[in-house]
Amino acid sequence: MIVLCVTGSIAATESIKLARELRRNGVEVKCFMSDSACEIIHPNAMEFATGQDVVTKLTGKIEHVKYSQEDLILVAPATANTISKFAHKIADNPISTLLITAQGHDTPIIFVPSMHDSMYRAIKENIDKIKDEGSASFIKPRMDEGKAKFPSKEDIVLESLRTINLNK
Amino acid sequence: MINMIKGKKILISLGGTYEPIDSVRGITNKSSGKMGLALAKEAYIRGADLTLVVANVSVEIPSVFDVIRVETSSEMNEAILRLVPDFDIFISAAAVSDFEFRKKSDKKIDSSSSLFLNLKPTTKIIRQIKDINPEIFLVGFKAEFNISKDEIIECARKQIADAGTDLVIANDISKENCQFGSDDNEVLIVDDEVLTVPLASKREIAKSNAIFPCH
Repeated sequence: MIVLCVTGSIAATESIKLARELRRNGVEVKCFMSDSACEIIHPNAMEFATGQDVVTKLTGKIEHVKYSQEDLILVAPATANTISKFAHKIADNPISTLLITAQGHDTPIIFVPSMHDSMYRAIKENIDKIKDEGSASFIKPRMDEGKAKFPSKEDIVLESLRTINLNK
Repeated sequence: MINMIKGKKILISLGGTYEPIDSVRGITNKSSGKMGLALAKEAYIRGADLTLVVANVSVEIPSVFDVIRVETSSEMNEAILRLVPDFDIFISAAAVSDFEFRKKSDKKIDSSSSLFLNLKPTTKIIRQIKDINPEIFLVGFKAEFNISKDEIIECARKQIADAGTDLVIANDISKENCQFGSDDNEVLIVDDEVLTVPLASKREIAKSNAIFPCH
């Protein structure tokens, strides 16, 4: 199973089709959404795309623990905020909490950064820190119109399935 | 099977080469690169260390792949011969021109009179692979037109004898849905044995365990 974490970038609109594409490749998908992602797309859309309930807050079911040892945690789109919090191991929302729980279990994590390129430059140090410690990998954005745009869904699917196989 | 190609260095050639006649015209073929790309995706997903040599294709190559672009058969030849010593597996899925021009015009040839083209056979890339790297696992393709299954198998076996190919994926491109550029194919996978893969998408063929070597 892939845990797809959707955070607050306009590219959250792409996550609906990404979830469908992953499932077309035979992968079960569970979705976590941040509050700001919920202001861009409604959780119902991700519930439809994944066929499962969407986690938007942590409850007595300890969702951050329950889903921390799946095949892959895929953060797509990943905002500057989410990446930077992970770089410093801050856990103040369901997704950032899931991420550090997963890291503790050596569960593979992939970030798909999506933000304005000035923000991307500003958090470079945090991205390098994560790369250096090897705690997660990144699918590099498509640079276009001065923005770090969401890569093609096909690239994300290929990298996700490869990462799962390499960690088997 | 997944672990079999994890970490292996795999080289795949795909697409059709283009031989220029003059500065604007040329001869090419209808290869789309779809089969080579389907194999590349499957190898990548299974964790291979992948490099592609890509000629003319009608498909989009994912940006996560390591790609060398070529145009002519001689460029393809040069790139492959340079890379082959470093790889564990080479899948030759490209449709390489069998002929090139003796003399290419660097102008645009005048169209007011008739034109005779003088072609010479190109170097057969696949026959040189095992000389350079005898250890490499070599997968060849054989496209034939409207011949019997036994004749196709004979053609595939001839490639094995001539080039030392370890595995040949052979098909009859006269069959419906099996032409160059189609999404589906019906193939024979030939080594010591013959495995018939009935009409399936190129992606499903790539997933078939018979293609990726089990050594």
